[in-house]
Amino acid sequence: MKEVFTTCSFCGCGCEICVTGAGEEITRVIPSFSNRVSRGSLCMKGWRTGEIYCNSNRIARPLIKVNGTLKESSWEAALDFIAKRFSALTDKDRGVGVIGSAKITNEESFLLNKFARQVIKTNNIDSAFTLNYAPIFEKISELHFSLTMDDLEKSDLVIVIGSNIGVEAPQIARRVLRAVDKGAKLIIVNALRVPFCDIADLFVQTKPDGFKDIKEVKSFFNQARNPIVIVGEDIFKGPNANDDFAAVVETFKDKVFPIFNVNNILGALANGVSPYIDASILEQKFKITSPKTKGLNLFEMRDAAATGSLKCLYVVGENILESMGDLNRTRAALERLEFLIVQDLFLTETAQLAHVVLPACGALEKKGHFINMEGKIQQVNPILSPYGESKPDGQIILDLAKKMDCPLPYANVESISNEISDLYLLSDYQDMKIDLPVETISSDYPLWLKVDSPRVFFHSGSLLKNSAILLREMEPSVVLMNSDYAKEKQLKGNDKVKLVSKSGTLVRNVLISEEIPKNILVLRTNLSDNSHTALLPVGLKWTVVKLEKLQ
Amino acid sequence: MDNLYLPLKAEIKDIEQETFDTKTFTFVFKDKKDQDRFQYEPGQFIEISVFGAGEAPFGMATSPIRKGYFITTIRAVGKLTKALHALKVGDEVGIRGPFGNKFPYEEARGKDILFVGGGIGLPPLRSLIHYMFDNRKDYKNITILYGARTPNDLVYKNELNEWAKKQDIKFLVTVDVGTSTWQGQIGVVPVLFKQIHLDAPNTFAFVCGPPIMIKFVIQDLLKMGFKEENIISTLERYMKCGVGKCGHCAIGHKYVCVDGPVFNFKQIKNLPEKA
Amino acid sequence: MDGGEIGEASMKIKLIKEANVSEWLNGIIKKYKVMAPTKIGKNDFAFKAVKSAGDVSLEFLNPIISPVKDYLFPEKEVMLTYRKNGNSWDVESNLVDQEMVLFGLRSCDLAAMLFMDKFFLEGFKDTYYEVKRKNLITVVMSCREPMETCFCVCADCGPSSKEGFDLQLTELDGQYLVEIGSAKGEELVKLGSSFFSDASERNLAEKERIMEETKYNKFKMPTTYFSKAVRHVTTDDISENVWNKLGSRCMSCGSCSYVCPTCTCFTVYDEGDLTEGKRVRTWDSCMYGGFTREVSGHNPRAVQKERVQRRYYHKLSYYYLTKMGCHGCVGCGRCVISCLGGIDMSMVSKAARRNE
Repeated sequence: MKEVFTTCSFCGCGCEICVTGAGEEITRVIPSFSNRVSRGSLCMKGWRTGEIYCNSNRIARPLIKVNGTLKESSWEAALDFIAKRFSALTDKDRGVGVIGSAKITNEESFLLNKFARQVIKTNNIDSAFTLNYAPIFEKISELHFSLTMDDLEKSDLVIVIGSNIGVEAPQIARRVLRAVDKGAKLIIVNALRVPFCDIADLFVQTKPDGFKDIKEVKSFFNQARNPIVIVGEDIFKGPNANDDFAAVVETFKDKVFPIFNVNNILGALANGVSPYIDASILEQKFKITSPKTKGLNLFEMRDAAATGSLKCLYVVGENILESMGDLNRTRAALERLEFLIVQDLFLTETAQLAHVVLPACGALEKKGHFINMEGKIQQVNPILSPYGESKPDGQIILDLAKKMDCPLPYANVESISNEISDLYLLSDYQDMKIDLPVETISSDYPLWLKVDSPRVFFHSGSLLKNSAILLREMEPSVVLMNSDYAKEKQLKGNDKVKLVSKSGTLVRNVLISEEIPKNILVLRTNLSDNSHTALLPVGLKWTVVKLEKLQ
Repeated sequence: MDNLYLPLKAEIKDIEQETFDTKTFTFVFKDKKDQDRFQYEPGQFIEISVFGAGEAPFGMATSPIRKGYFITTIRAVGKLTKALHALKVGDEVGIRGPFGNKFPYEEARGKDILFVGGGIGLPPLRSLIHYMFDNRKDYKNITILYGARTPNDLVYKNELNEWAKKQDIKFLVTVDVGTSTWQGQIGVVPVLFKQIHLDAPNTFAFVCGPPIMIKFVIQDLLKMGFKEENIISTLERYMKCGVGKCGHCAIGHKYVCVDGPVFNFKQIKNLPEKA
Repeated sequence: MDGGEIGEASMKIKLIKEANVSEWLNGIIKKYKVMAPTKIGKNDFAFKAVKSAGDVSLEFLNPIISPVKDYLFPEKEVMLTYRKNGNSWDVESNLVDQEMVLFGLRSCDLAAMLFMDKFFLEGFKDTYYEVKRKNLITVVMSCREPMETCFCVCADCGPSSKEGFDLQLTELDGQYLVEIGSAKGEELVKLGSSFFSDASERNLAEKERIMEETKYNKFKMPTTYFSKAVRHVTTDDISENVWNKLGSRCMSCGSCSYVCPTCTCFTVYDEGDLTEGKRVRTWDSCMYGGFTREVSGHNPRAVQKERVQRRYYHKLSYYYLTKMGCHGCVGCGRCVISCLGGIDMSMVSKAARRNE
């Protein structure tokens, strides 16, 4: 029997879990009682951690695509193959990109950063941070991480903008409720009703792109002693993300608490897995001499792949075929690549397109650190040995560098921890604006569409759908619409409709809902297929559509 | 120590394709002692295991008087049922049971009997129908009404023909939507009520089928003057353990797998949904 | 309060000095498997198998997972293993019959065990519970310092147990009063007989006095008035609005069901594939939508508010008082600690009473 305290690897709260195992089985996962974040509780996902990592759906051995089918191979063969392809890249034709993820530890992101810039000599490195939190970049210098969960509990006014916090960050929601029970006022600002509206003091129902019009909230804010403003994915992945987030920060300044709702996306950013990190910082802090060319972000990498100027892509832990949206375009771009390497735990949709798949370890199988949404560093400790022949992402990167005769100066992944422990400052980034599509309804596309992922949809669901109980929570994917609108269109529950956006189409059944405004449709997704991403121009949660009735 | 959760081995002796997604399986326990010891009542169910796919409850479709084998009819809708459908004659499954309560066939003795079945609701009723055929003189008039969406969705098609020929019962069948070859009635099951004469206060009604059908049928039966305690149905709930421990089928402190699945309408009305 | 309050008139009582408890415990450990409270991690506690009394931390906070539940009905349990063998299967269930001493249980957890006994062993006997319960020896440690979240007094389950234990220890001044509740308990005492002396009526009265003092002065949670809440639930006169508000706070985490020592719901699934694997059972929670959703898609408790309401109607129902002679809750306070939505038993009881 072994027992280990480690950090949960799903949402950005970062609860401490106590994992008990026997052999290669997890027998029990419980929350730590004394830990500041978990305080004796976990959400639905955390409790089921054990079912997810030791699971026969894991990739056990490296896979190489032969005649269109992925076949099991060896590490020797796979790394050799990759090393040869990378080494064949010339300075002139350096069309290669690297995409990291939230699943890997800080140490591993650090290694990925070094690997990209020093070994394969590219600045084309990015992570889902750009995908999910792009608006942050415009105001990044104002991100101080001065607010914590404990501050939330002491607040006298909590304003929640663009988030269903019970789903996005349950431990944050817990603190908000504790504050409310102690007398704090709760204001919810959202385009759609969320459950906490029933207990809120005020619910401001805005337009999906209208968060800048929140004057009435400002006067409450000014009168409060310790107000805190929580900002979530309906802003970051909303139809007017940049402007709305900028307006929120300008209004509420250092009282803004953004929800980074995946476990270590900040680890990717803090360790330079981004084309936007300052070159001088790379030099001084990371001791990396990076190439002179401007790096591409992941959207630009996709566009470059589509035209053929990007030939190779190394994807570590991110299921970009799901998370980047615009399914048809993303798939076409990936299929055009000459060489796609995917490093992950499960055979995701992206991995299925790869030329080489490298089996990675999960959070219960490696040592390192995560950064949670408060900006605090948390320890990750292993309890299982690597599944099958999988290896920790960091080890794979070190092995690959060695294969390419460009070894990185670290004996193992753990030895990096000391080197990077004080590297976490977001002042490594300059304020800059990333162009995001701005959507608005028009006569051609008169309806807003919100994509509502199930509670368990983190990391594109690729981890969580391996738990029988979490999968049981899935409900059929349907489109919810307002009852008056349905009557107008002569639609009733279970009718089939076709949703059409600028990027694609989708057919779904109708479900009537009382709570939705008339010009909004909510697409409830489910983990078994990501065909809904065809509708989305990028990985946003909102887009505009028109509706066609089907017989 | 006997293990409540350990299935006994049973072999598939026969498989009949009833509809495109429904099959009838005939099982015999591998160990003759298990088969000889196996006693059940009409209305009860068994838990069938396909190891690796899981375990689920299925109503018995045979009369307990016919020993040596038992039958259940299964539609392939989920992981376990699809795995069952992939099996062949001679393959083995695990069986636990019988569980649940029985149809009140004792209280119904000496009365007129009405069976109303819809689609896949006929199999559990069949157990009682056969029991009553086997004890025919204990019951007065027996009427069986059965309906399905289309002729292809009717189960036990051959047997239905036999029932149509039986002189000592009245049997009517209907479908919602006909086909070019269907020569029988078209219409939903309640439509058949107009074609039979019932002595409502002295009749026991056994109703099984889709929830919507049950709802409308019971409404009609009440209007006709049936007593609430004499309208018998089976409750559907997601069930797992079959022995009243796992909690999935609990309604208040009653468990559908222990106190049911057979309930009369008066009991159904009084079930505390909130608890 | 006279001697008649004690319970079984024939219950033997002994004394053991604090300083001798370790040696006595070491004697028990030599003969039995013992699970006792230990410190784990930086600042948590858990009941674990101990090799020596030195591993035991009697100054412990009651762990977030009830030790009786952790042992008798653990979070995950292998029910049977299977392997394909031609057309057939080799199926095995590994029932481990062993003696176990749970040393240092709190009275709330003992009450929970007595509750689980009635649930798992009446009607059909749950095999996996039964095989572990058969040879379980319970040594209860009365509570002198309840946690901030405890309310066992409201459920009449503490701070010490009246009956049902094999041994109960209560700390007096520098020594423990030991109440021997059964022959098994007597066996344990015999293992350290040189450390035990007879106790007197005066010692017993002292114990009662200390427990009364603890009851009245040391509990910080507001009184939960279970009987009033039960009455409101039974007469169903709590407005829907109360449940709407409570339901909107529930985040479906399931923590309440997992930490509650009287919650017994589980699910069963096969881990492995069609050739080889195991059938396991794991804790489940009625707070999850999928808990009652049928294959057809119909869900009798489709909305979160219905699930929250149902949990409390179930726990606070009159049924437990009539059939089991106890409340459905032992006042251990774990849901107060764990509920993410802050809708714990104490808070809900209050809301039910006040109808707001």
